[in-house]
Amino acid sequence: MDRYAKQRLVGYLARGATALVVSVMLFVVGVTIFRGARILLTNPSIVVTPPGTQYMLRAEGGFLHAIVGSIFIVIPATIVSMTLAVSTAVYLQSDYSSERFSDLTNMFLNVLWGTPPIVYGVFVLTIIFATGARQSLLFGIIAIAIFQYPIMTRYTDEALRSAPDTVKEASYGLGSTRFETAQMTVRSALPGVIAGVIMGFARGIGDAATVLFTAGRSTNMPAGPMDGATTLPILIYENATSPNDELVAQAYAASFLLIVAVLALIGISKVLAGRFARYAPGGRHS
Amino acid sequence: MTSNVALTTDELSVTYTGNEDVKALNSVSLEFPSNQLTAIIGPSGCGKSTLLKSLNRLHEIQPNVEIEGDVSLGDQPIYNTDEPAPEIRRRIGYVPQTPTALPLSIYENVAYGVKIHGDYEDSAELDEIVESYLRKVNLWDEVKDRLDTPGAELSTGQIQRLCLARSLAVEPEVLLCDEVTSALDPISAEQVEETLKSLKEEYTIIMVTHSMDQARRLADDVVFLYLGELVEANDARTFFENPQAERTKEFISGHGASTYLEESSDESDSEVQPDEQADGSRDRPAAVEQ
Amino acid sequence: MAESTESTESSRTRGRLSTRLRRERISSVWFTVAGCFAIGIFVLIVVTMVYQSLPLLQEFSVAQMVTSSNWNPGENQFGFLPAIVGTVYVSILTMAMGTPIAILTAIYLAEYAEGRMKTLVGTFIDVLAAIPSVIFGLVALLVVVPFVGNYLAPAFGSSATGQGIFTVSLVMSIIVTPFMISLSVESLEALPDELRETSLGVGATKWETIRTVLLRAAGPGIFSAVLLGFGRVFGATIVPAMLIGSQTQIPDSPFATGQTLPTLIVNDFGELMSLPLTQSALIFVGVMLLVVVWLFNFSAMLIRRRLKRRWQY
Repeated sequence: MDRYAKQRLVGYLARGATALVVSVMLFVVGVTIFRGARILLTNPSIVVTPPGTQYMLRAEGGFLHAIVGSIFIVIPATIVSMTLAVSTAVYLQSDYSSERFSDLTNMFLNVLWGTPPIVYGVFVLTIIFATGARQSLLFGIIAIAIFQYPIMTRYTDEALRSAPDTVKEASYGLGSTRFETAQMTVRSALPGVIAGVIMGFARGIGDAATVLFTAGRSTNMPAGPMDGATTLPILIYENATSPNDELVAQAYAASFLLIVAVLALIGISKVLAGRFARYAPGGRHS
Repeated sequence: MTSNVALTTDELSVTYTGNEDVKALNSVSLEFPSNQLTAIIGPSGCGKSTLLKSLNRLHEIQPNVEIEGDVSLGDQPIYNTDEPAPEIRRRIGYVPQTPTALPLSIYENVAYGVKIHGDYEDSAELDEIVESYLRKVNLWDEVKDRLDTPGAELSTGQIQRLCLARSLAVEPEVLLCDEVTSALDPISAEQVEETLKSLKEEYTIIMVTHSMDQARRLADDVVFLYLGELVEANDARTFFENPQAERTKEFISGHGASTYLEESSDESDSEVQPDEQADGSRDRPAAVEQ
Repeated sequence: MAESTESTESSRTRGRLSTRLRRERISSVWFTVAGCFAIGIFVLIVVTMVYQSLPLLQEFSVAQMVTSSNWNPGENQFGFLPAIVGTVYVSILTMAMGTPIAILTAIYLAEYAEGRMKTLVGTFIDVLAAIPSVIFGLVALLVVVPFVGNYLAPAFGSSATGQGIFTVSLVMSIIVTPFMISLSVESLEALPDELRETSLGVGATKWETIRTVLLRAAGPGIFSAVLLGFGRVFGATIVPAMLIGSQTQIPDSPFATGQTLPTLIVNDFGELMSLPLTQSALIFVGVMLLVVVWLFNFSAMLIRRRLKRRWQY
């Protein structure tokens, strides 16, 4: 085979691989959206109906409990995690820490970033054992927050890093304190920070392994922060393997909601990242 | 020999088709004599790099570029031909502005092109080729003891000479050099200039420069471009001492022999934009980061 | 009122300055706390989990447990070998299928695709990376499991339900591929164009340039992408739990059912509450996952550093 035939072959292979990846994606999203939409259209009430007493056996009622659980676990977790992540990123970027400490922290952040979510789940579970508490919404929030923290920190750190140094210099030049300067840096990188928070939110809302042991896999509406709860991914996981067709159908309906939510979040973060690119010097050029 | 023409452009136009079409090079017809060093000068954004890259079809790696006209090597056309671009680029070598070591050892850097084209019998011959070209660029004595270390560990001046050796090793007929000394400190630049001077006996060298001094020191012929148009092409003596075109006179006197054209040219000129973008995108450090 | 305006003004700024400085001090404390959070949480995770797995470690030695294939928590037999073999099996099979596709797609996106096509495919990859993995599991139960059970496994002469190592690997490779793609594309696009121009300038073809120059120069980044992908497969929980068949045995073929370390935790979760030693064992599985991921990260860092030196440009 001569050089040019080889070059052509690799071109075909690269295009073929891409076509494969794209078609798999279209297939998975297509199946989920199509089936989910059909089920939601025939029986839209399952979204707003709480589960009946025999939900896992006879599919009584709907899965409002999982929707409520997802919202009340992921939103507070995102707020907690965002606060910590932005603060950590500011700490690493601004003049609070020595370079060596920053490197050390970055190393640990990398390890946390690569840690499987199930480990966070088991960790929070050990805390539950140690405190003698019950699995509940609150522990679900804690687990998801820990899971999101390294993800959001990474994105935020990147965003702050690409903020121009001139902002910092100009701010210090006016006699600002570090805190006031940090505020300016965050503001100048805000779209990127928000995009990072949204990505963290999207990851949090889709993850099951962290909440599996911590939120309680309840089949009732959560009554309070100390009550057992469940989330959409767990509902999908449990319903998917059920012999009851109606429960499987509800899993597709739940998947539909989850995919739509994730797509919407990506869309928002893309828009923000685009805006971010316009402000950041030398940022992503399309 | 010296009167022969190595490379000819025939009404060559290059257009960047982005949101709006911008003509970076407008119908340029030129003859580059063989075994001479031709310097291409002009204010930044005048299409120097565009012209250089279109001579061996290198701009083809950028999206949104359209070419009209043709370039011929001897009497063989470069664009209207079935010959694949790599074969053409082998005969017309290119040395980029930034000293660039490939992620290979010093030895492999020089051997890279030779290996690709399979121009050697055995490893002993390859060794010979590598040594002779490293000698040709006056680098052999500096690196002969560490041929296995990464090329990037050399100093920038050494890397630029390594680039020359790598380009020469495939035995091109023409060598295109894009401001090869602009990224170097004065001493390294002088070494590279010396190397170029010694090479022009054997090769046809076409070189973009923004330093008038350098053009005076090295060039046999000078091509002056302004906003994508050819203003004047002449042998160096005539060009500097008795310029024909009005604009050339202005340019030479207005900028003085020792000033750098880059600095005094009007960067905010809107017509400068397209080439600036094409060239500038890879120079932005922030985009490269992450 | 007799005082000059100058002194009131300076006392006003001084008052404001002290407020500002107080704010600075408070915020500085807060940021330091937040900055230490990463290390703190890591240490806390390691300490609590190791502490909780001590009861198990006092009874059995680690070497004994990871080489024994008897997993029967009810009778205090904790052999992790089947789950370890299953995890390694799934990880290797997944990477064998996913890595070539990921690198080829990354090459297409970084070196071939242009303009609108590039944006479009890039967005598709981002979407694929963000779809919750549980949805892949759901669709796989509908599509992949019957396909493997009815056609693929019989074609290779093994009878299977369709759940098992191969099914998990196939689905996991779909899940990690986009992740590896976007990281690889990032490192390829970060390369300066001079590398391409230089290589093409001596007459290399596009493929020769990609193979000898670009894949090396971007090598450290692509390498981390693959290792991070590996780590993801290693710790994946939900998809294996849905598709692996969950039988604690050493798999004898790619179509056999099995168990991975994370699915071990999921499947024995019910018994976990009652038996303290089982509880300790399952937490120890978490410790093993953590240690492996940690080793992975660390060796990745070292290898990356060496590659960066060797393949610098």
